[in-house]
Amino acid sequence: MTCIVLSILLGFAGLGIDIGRMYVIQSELQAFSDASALNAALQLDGAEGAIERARLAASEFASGPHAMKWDLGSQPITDIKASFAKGDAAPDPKTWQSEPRDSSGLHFVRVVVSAPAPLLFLRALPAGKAGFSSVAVSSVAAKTPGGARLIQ
Amino acid sequence: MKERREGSALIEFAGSLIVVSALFTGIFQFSYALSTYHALVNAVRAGARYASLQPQPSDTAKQDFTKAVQNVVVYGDPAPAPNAKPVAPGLTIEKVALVLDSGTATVSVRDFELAAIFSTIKLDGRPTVTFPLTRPSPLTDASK
Repeated sequence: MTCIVLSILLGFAGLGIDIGRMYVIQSELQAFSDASALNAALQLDGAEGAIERARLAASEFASGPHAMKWDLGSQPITDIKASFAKGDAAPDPKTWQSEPRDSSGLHFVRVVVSAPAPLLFLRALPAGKAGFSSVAVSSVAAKTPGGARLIQ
Repeated sequence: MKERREGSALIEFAGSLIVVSALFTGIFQFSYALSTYHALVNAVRAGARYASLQPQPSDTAKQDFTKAVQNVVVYGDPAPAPNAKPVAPGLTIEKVALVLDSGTATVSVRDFELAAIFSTIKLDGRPTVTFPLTRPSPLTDASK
């Protein structure tokens, strides 16, 4: 009886730890994707090479002396995807492209960041067999005359 | 016979109590550390975002600007009330560093000891959040 009750209690406590860790990772990735989206949006000036500059800007904060990291600030962020859209007040959903040929009219950038959150206790369940759970966040920023702003 | 059973149940209870207490204390400690770190990430992000939205400070205004950012991180307000409480126990403005560098604002926690039950976890340089400065440069001191 004691063993059964203990297993259930520990199972729930472990669930709390794994989910808590995922929330921390999500916050770290969200801060990164917000900053990256803003940094990329600042490059969308319509000039030649703007897309390439924006793409580089999206991953700028993942390296260097002030690099942002995940998993309690210990792991470098590597999975960063940027896509671009046209639009006026809001991005036109039909125009999202990850490899646009021309930068003219592109004012919006979406940065999607993901990381494999390690599981300590949930790997005992069938759903956590892989030992990690993918955590993904996204941010959308727009180029504005004064700079850039976050949309989502 | 009955006394013997009661005795062994007592020993079982005592043994499992020690194991369960140690386990739950460990789980509490880990969860507390996670919760505090989560609060720090959000606070540092708020500070960096605040810095990114302000006009870049002139040299003379840099000190006030830094203090405002530190206050946002620690108290969630650039001008906190005198009795404001920090977002994490033991977090003070001296433990928050702001670096303004080539169009970016980097905010990080420095030399902070996250006090858990059995041990302290030292955080130096994490969490770190960098935001681009999204406001145009302000007047310089000379142009005032």
